[in-house]
Amino acid sequence: MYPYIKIFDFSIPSYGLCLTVAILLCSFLYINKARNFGLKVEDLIIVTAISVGTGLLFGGVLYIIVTYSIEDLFYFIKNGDLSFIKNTGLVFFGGLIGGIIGAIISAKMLKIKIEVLEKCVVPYIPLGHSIGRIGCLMAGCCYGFEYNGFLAVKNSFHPENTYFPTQAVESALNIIIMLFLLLYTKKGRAKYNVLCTYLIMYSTIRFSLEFLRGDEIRGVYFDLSTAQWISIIIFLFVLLKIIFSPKQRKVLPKAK
Amino acid sequence: MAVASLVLGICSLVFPFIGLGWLSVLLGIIGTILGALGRKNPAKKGTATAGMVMSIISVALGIIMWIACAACIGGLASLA
Repeated sequence: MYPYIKIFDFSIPSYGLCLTVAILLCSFLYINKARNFGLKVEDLIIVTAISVGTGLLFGGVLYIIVTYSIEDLFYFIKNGDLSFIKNTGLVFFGGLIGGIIGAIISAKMLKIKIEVLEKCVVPYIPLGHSIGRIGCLMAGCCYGFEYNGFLAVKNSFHPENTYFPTQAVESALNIIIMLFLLLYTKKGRAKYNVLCTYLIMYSTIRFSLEFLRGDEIRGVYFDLSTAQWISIIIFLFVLLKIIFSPKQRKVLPKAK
Repeated sequence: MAVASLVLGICSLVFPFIGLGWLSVLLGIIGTILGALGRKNPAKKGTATAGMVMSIISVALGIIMWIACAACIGGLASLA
């Protein structure tokens, strides 16, 4: 639809803009919330910076893995061509996994309680994702199946057809997940409980929504897309964790 | 740490405008961490805050300029 937003003479990439707004807004909201539980702003900024760094790294690496073949990568490196890094995109699941790993490691380094941090951070992940998906919709990179009915959207790169607004649907569903998680975290929850709930909800939704997508740029293996395979792996991993973890005491952090 | 954060913040502000958004993000993240650590020292709090803010701005600018969406590249290629 609008891959670039023109402000005066400047063309700003809409996807990058939405991603930046998402990161800044979610960081502001979660830091504001976490301060009420006695966490230091400086520590929270460090956790955010490390999580954003690892999230971008994992998201970019996963994008490169699913987009280029090993032969292509060897060819690029052999010729000193680093354009694949310069022009990289992001895969959400890579960013999510990287961000979680970064947050857990940094929280342990700074001796922040994981259950307090996840209670503050996790409900805002779907909010950020929702804004990011609006960026996807505007950029026209990923798109739904060909469709002419109500709310059909045009695509900048394939102007001959109209498409189902899969990204807008995902964005709306992410807002619903956020509202549910905000209510869910009002009560005390055991360690990793909120994160597991989010992962179960999102992986189920993502697996289903992939059937409504028309682009296959991120690879299809055995009739399922990369995102669907990752959804299955995450769903099973979380399910096994819930089944085999010993029952934990619910923790209700006290707000100041 | 506060001075290092300020230096990284100033340097990384330049990179998004010369097509090195990824370098700006990398240096900006390091600058933000150093700035946050520097803020714990009351004597250097002002310098550290300035460094941290500039680093955060450079990360934001870097992401805007660097991250192109996956299929934008594919889409442009299909148009060529």
